[in-house]
Amino acid sequence: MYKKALKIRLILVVACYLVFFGFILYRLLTVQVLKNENFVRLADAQHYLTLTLAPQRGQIFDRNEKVLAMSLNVFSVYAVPYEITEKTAFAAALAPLLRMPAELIQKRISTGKKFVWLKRRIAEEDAAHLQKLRLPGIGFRRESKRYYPDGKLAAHVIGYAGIDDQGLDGAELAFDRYLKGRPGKRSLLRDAKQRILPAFEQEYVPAVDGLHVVLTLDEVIQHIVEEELENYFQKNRALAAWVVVMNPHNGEIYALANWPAHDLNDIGAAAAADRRNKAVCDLFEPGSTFKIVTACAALEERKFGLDDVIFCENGEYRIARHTLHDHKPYGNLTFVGVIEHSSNIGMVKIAQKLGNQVVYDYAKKFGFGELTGIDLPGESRGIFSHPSKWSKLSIGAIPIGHEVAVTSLQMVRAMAVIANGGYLVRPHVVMKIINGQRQDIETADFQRQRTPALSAQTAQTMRNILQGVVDRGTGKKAAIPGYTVAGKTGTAQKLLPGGGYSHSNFIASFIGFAPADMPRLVAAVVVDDPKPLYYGGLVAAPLFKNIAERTLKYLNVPQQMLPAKDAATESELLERIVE
Amino acid sequence: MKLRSVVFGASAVVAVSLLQVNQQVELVKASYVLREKEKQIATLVDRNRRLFYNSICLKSPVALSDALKRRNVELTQPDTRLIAQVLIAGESGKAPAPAVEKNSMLDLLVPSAQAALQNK
Repeated sequence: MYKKALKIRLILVVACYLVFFGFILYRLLTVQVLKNENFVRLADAQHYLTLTLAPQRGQIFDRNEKVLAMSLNVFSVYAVPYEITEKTAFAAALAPLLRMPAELIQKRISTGKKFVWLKRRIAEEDAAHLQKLRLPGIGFRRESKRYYPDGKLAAHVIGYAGIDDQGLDGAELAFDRYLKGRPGKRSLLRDAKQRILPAFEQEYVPAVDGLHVVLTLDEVIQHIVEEELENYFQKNRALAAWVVVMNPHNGEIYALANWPAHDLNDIGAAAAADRRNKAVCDLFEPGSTFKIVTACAALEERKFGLDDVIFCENGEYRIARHTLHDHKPYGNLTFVGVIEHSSNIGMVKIAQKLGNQVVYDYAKKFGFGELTGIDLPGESRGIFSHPSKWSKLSIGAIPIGHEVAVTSLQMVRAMAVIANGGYLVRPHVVMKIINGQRQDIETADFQRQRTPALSAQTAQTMRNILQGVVDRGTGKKAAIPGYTVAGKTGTAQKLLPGGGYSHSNFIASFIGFAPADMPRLVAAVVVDDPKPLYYGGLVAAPLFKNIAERTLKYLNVPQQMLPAKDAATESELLERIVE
Repeated sequence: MKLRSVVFGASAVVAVSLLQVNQQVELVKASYVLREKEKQIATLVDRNRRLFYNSICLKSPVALSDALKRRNVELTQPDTRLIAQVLIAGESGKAPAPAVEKNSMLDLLVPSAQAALQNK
């Protein structure tokens, strides 16, 4: 009996041990074999920390390798909410230093998260003050911030980068793939208290810093343009203005400025409309500056000679139930006189003799209705319809720059055709991409992108005619002492929202180049709705003169001799100097 | 004999193990020192870049232009004819007086005219 009871107890004990150790074995199998990968992953997440190494964003330089944009490391502040005991006092202490409302800080640290950003990329002084406070639950992370040393200079060309160092506009956006670089990776071991053990680095992939972009802009010429725009707007009123200065031979843009400008270091303060690059994006009816196209067509097709006389109807010409007017009643004008005095009627008669298709073809040769291909975002191609869609009035409008919408970039490129001997060039703002050791990675080769548009002879003839516009015609205020200047004025009525043209709002423009015989620069100056004066010859031409004069002297372009009729004055002057 | 070799062997193993542990400890110490140095280098590099940025801000044409305006200084580009004036005046024998040379450090302490007299 006793033995039987003992046997039963023994069996029970063994069974209990078997169950107990069977359970242990089952758990061991589950943890070590069946769910092995899960637990390894969890352990790795606890033990290892993978840091992303942010690359340094590339710099943007002007053509002389002066820095226009660069990145600096600054601190961003974060909070670990569960480590903060006195949340109200914490928020109150940080609010003045972070320049944020205390309520907002308190709201952020009251979430159940382990990590919240308080403020990204704060000023260095503020970071130093915060670090001195040694508040628990606060941490600092080093991040990169974009800075622009010149503030407003070339704001519309450079563009800006966002808070995560991504290009959002201008060259920052267009060349983001070069500038951004490649992030690296570092995998580090952590101890039980989550402290990093740097000796046991598992993986290290260094970050590759971004490449640098060298623009064709010249910082000094850009400053000259912006300073002249600023001076103009201190004395006059207008909605906006924009200027493009370009090398006519290869399309390198020396300066591109819009007014009003904005400070790239405080981009949030700028209105969206002011951030738009009007020189590239905005369309306007060019008015009389477009007459160069019709004039070139007439010369190239040999339909007109320089001395051919055109009757300008004494200032009123009926065409397709509309009456075309000149700004002055002209009678007979030579072909040259029509351009010098900017006669609308004369130009329309020239166009009528050429025909719709010829006018269209030459406008296309000059690049209108097409993108110029500039390496900036947001370019407009303009509006220029095919002759099949022209009305009977179109031949009276298009040759004088109405019924067609262009950008000032297209206008400056068209004028460059005349300046450089007949080639359509591609305007561009990038010269080359370089690495940190200043070695060329990519070089823009735009010399090959010159398309013949006109014969050299026609271009030369037009240069002489356009020089006459400045010497004797509507562009006298563009004349620069000591230099020959050629160009065309434009005064275009603005379109009204409901249709038709305004009689009180104009676009004043001057497109020209200097020196006329060996052009070093071509520039387009456009002023939107200037007041009180609104003629291109009175508003845009003087601006062109100031900009071109300073730029030519900066470029050390030698002054040319004065015309023969002034030779006596010159020699008298020299005699007085020697005495 | 057998006991001695066992003790000897065990001692060797323990010594090597201790050396290995010591090596690991030294490695960890060195890595902390390296990390601190890396942080210092990063701070110095950042400060260098910031100083470079400050210097280019000061040299920018916008800053220079503002500085000149604040001091009421207006720069003008010389006319080519004015430069010719100086050249012609020089050629005609009416060249301006030559600059006074400073031959010793003491010359810096006296006005230019006196220094010229002393040198003569």
